[in-house]
Amino acid sequence: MAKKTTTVSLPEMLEPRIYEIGYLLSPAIRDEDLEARATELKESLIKLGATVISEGNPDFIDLAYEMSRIIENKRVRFTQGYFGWFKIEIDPSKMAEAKETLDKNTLLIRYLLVGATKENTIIGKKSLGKILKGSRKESSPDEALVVSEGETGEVPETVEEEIPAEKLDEALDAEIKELVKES
Amino acid sequence: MSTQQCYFKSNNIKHIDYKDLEILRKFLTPTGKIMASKRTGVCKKSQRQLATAIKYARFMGLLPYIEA
Repeated sequence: MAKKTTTVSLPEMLEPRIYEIGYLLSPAIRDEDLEARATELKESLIKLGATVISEGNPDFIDLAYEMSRIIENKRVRFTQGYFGWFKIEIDPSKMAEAKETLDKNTLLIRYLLVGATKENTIIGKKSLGKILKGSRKESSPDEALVVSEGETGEVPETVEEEIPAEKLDEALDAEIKELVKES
Repeated sequence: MSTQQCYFKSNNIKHIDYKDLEILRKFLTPTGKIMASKRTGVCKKSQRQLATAIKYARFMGLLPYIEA
């Protein structure tokens, strides 16, 4: 029995295919600039001849683990980020260029490029943002990223405002008296 | 007549999405490991798709590699 062989012709190989790009944007981006950054990312691929089929707006999420990326010779660690995705139709021959443009983007923590289908494949009712809700209000965007030079994003809360001035004066006077006694 | 045990076949899910955390979490142990198909009854084809989807989600920081 002769074995069946499947041959793929060159024009078939060069037909546009559907890919999905999931991306994690830096938490340092302000809420106002977020949409602009996301569209910038899409437009960089549209320039290469891609057409956007569907997309998911970036959601602020807590990452499951700490990620790091070297940006301008500094290792930056991330614990939060904006996760978004979009599906595009593009020639497979343009994918190498697309990858290069994504690699160059310093605002991207990570991206995932996979083959996809046109249909919506998410069955779960809850959105990603709700499941992995980032605590945006509690922590500032700068706290979500840590530069690996021993600097931590944690800023101690100012207690001075809570203590009344009179009590502070009394405490200072008591300390001064103690110092005078010692000397 | 035999009843289908595979979660994905019985729910007519043809493509497992890595962003679908509600479904993916059903097939993870409390420590974050992928459950064996022997335990869940997922068919071989879907188990392969499921493992790939979980690994994509882990890479993007949506799921942990190990949960303490």
